[in-house]
Amino acid sequence: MTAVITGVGVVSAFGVGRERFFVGLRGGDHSIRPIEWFDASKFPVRVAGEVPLAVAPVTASRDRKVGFALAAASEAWRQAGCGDAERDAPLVIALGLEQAFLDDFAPIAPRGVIDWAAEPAATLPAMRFRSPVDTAARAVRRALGLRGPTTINVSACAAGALAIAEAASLVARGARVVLCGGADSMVNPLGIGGMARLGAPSPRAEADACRPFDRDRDGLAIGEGAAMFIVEDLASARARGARPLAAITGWGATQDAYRATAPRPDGSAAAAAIARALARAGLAPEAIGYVNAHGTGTPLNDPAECLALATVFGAHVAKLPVSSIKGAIGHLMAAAGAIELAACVLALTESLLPGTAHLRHRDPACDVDVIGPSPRRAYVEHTLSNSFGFGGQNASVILRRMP
Amino acid sequence: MTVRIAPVAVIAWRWRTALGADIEAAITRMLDGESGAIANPEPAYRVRAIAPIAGAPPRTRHDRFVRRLGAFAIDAATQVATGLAPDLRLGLYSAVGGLRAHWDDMLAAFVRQRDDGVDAWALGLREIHPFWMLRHLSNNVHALLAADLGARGDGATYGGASAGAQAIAAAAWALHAGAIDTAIVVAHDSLLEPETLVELGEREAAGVPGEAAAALVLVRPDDPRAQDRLASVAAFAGAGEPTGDAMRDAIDAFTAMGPIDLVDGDHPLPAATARIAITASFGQIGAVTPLVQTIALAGILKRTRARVALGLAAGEPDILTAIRIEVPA
Repeated sequence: MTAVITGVGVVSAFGVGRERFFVGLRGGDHSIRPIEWFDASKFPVRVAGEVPLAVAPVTASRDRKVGFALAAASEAWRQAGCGDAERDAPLVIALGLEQAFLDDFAPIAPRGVIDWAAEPAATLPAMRFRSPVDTAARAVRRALGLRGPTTINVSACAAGALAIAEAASLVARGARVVLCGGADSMVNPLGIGGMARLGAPSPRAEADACRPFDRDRDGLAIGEGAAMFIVEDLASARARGARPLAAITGWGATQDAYRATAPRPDGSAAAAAIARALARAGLAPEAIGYVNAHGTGTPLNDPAECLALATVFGAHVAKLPVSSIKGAIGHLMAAAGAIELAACVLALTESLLPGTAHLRHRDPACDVDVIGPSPRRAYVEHTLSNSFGFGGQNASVILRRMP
Repeated sequence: MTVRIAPVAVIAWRWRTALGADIEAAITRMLDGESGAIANPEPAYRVRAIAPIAGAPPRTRHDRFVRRLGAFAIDAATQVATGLAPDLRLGLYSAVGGLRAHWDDMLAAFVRQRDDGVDAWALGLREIHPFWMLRHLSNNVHALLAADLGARGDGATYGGASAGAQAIAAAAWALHAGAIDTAIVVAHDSLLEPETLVELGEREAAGVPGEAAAALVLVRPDDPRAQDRLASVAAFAGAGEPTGDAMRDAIDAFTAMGPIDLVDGDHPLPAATARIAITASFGQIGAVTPLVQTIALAGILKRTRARVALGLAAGEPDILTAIRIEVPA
């Protein structure tokens, strides 16, 4: 069984739709802007890769990731030409935190204590269940009429990659078609506020807040959006006339087992995830032609990831193009691995390797061939996408060009 | 729909439930008809009975990163993993029922907020504890356990009402694929959060909300350690109506493996099949249900001549889980 991608749907700070995303990457653009969805002017973090309000999908849920998931899933479904015959497809989706809304709290805590039992019919059930973890999954299932099982991966920043890996694994075990990907949004007062208190985002409210692999990097930029894929068996895709865009040939996962707050500095567990993906794909390290890095732009992540790359690729790392798109669209958290795999699809289908926005002075501690802000034209057969999540969950996914 | 099942051997288990942490004692109490339910001490709620875990988890260095149920899960998993080699062949699969925001951690940040969100930072969000996000993180238990246990192999964290079954199934496939040699599956869930109690209080037949944490150690059936297995388990996490096609397909797949002696959960099966309802003793325990079913049903089977049990559950809309437990002859 060969798992292939036949449909891609994307919502990002570049706009709604994969073509908007690809146009942004082709142009070496970036989209970190002042937050519009709420008044962040007095927050320490005031910029994000926010999906433009004018085009953001609107749903009954105020949780923006629900609309993102729906839009991306629908686009992937359409591109793959799926219909009634595919509605038994399992759904494997990566989702981030449930959301809380300040206007829910203001009226129920007038005296400094939340009165849970005061007006349950009027307010609380809506608040509790407005955005449980699986709201987006339920919305996608209903919108597309899916009947298959649902898997919800909540492995933080590795969740998107793990969801796609699980979809490929399902195909390897006999599933014909799987809808997979991730959706997330933390561009809300609690998400931005909580991350600001944690100290992970860059404190600079500038368009270049996130500068992966740069010597002056000082944190990540929070992003939001979704990327969804139709993954199916190659024979099935051909039989129903769907066009395979790329094959998912390798995936691997490990855990740092180090700290909740920092990656393992020597990158050894991340290297093991990459090595497992290569082994599954049956590839020598030299076969990889492009790495879409996790590349958060935080002081600790980037050098650890480069050490992992050096460990696995040895001398080949000097001529292995590496880039991170997080400087351009922000860190999509649970959806990061999914949207970054979509960037790999672009690399394979258009022979265009996305750039690393805002890279000016590569950090000597990041001794790899980092692509600068402009994309690089190159023909590659295999790409690697890394997702190294908060808490040390690591996932790597390899794509192969389709003839 | 074709249901694919990968049975694995359970070689260790632990739980924290409303009937205590001692598994044999809890099963005895369950078979005696006892329930862990108590009167809800909070009179404002319409839910009059709840099934909480008694007491508090042991204090650890992780207390600032995890809440009570997470701490119970870490405690159970740490015990169950005693003696396991900390390496790249040890996988960890976690399940959390809901990603519930920690409102009680955030009261100071919220109580002065305006409903239009203006000045939200100054009116309280700046007072959120720096580690609040970590306590809120979906995979915080997973991350801390991986570090504690040296679990560096394959793994993932699953969410939602069927997360426990998702985690067991994922671990089983990883074992069968050879990605790991040993899997720890750990789950925790509580339906005793204030907002959940309010929601349940509005339902006609809400049952008794409870909470639980549990952990299993799984190995491949051909692993030498499986010779001393406590039970074999196979899990299915599906979607659909409780009596719909998906559940029927899962039950068909399980019954094709051999006759079922005992069933936990409501589903049309042959009338002669013995039935039990473990929720009567443990309350509704959400995502932990498949793990507690594994331990409880195996414990019951070991006290009878029966060998095979089926554990079924239906959660929030469209969520189904089914497990098959078989104990050695």
